[in-house]
Amino acid sequence: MMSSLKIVFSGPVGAGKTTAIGAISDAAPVSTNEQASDMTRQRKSETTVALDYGVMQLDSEEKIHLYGTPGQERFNFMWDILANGGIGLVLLLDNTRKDPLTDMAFFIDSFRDYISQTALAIGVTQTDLKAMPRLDIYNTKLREMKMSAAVFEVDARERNDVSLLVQSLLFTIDPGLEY
Amino acid sequence: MIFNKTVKSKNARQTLISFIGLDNRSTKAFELFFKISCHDKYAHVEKHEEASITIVDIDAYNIGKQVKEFCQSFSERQLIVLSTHQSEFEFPNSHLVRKPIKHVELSKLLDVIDKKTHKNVGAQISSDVSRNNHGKEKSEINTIKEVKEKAVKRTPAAIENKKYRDTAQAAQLIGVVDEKLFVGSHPDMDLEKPRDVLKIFYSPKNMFQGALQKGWDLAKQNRETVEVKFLEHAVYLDGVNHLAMTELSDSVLRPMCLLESKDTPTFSSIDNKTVKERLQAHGRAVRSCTIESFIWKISLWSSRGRIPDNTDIYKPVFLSEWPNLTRLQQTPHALRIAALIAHEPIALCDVIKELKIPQRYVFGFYSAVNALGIAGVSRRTVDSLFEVQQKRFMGERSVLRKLLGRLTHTVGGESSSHAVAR
Repeated sequence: MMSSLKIVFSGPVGAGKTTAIGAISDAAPVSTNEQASDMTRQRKSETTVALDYGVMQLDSEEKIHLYGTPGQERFNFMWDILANGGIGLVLLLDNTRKDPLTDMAFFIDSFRDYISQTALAIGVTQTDLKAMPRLDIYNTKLREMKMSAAVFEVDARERNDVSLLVQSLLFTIDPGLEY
Repeated sequence: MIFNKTVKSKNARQTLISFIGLDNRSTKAFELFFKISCHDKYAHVEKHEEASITIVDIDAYNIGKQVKEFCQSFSERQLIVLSTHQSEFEFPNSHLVRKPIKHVELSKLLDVIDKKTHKNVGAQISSDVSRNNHGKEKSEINTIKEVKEKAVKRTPAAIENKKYRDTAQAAQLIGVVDEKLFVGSHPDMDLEKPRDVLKIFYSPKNMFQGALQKGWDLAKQNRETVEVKFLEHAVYLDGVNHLAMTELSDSVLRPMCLLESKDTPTFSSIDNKTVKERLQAHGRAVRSCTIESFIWKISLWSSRGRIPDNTDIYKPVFLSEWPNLTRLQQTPHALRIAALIAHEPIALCDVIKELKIPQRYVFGFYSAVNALGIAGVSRRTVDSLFEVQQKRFMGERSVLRKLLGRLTHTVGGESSSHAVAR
């Protein structure tokens, strides 16, 4: 089931992973959402407890699998399973959370090996609700972590935003890729 | 006697390495390399006595005497010698590694040395295996030949026969709103001809863009709102909320961007309440946007596919961070250019050759990121001790191209219109 042609979407609870996958997937993403029963409920009533799955059919033979990791840290073991081969990691961060910069550091550290072998693109969501921290602060933090990645403001519901984020991932791997 | 100092870190054996001739920056780079690329298998120590391997930067100033003395004290120490050009050493047990260092090969070499020293604790290592880089290790380090081959691939001669692709399609795909207004329409200049070269430059300092950038610097520095007056038109820059406010429409701003003025622009501190009152007094719509998107737009209209004067197109330029391209007007190939420059500093003329795109796309993009203060000419010739690693993708490039096609061609059956001005 797990083809190497995949893009992993990760990030904290409520960052928009399921929505982002839905924005570019050919079919509605298969989600295993459940009623949140803990602190997660404060952020959203349903949360992904296993994983999300979407697909982009490229032609009759090839397709790209889109996997969304569960946001809760207690499902970390799932991340290792998902982050095995593939194109890269799209990290979505919710700007309204208490400390999105710490979120970013946590997820980058968790996926550091995977990122070092593939590529990373970061989308910051909910900036319309909370402007701070601005993207320059995310970029400063990234430099402190000796990391380099595209960091864009995104609305996970907007296909164009998610598409640009994934495109930045592709060009990070190969800037010579032509349209 | 072979030194094989190791420490136990968690469950893993850790081999200690000392340095000679490495500055603080290089030391930190190596520490990071040991931690991340080598998974903490190696660690840096200050004292040579505690180390089992020593890394020497032989290109460091006046290092020869220091290394000789070191070799006398630690005659059987395994040395990794870093150099850009030297290949022969009188030091025993030395292994040459060419700069820029390749992560993977250095890691392999360390493993080979570590394995041997660990295996033969208390015994002499056969000199025919380790001396002066002969033997098996030779194939595992960066050779001059490899470097030359790589350099040849990037020379203009190697790509001169490749014609520029039709980029109009790319521009259309990314939804550029009236490309000519942002990056002009002039053809590529012959960069070998001095007269032509002059045409690629413009002087933002004497234009509205220069006034805007100076005003923004003041607003940021003093964390206040600054009124910038240029040619009797006012723009207000909020240094706290990163906003630009004006009553001027694009149809006024755009031509204003092309004018050079000898009149000095004025800058004055102003509070936001007064700004609102002034803007509302005229009964016109108040236009407010992020300062980044305002500077981006103004610099594109001003440069129209040119670069600020005094930019050296043959010197590497850096991009410290990607511009927020989901919220800015996208110039053609902006993502590709950003990815290439962000990867490692590269000269603008090489960006044009690598991506095979018109000069004006590269120049326009550079002018805009330069105006935002996130790009500039790299001051260091070699910006990194380590060679920048290419991202690995095990699949075929055609798959990436197909995916890119899917992302840019269709939105529910319609053409995509990325980054339309918001």
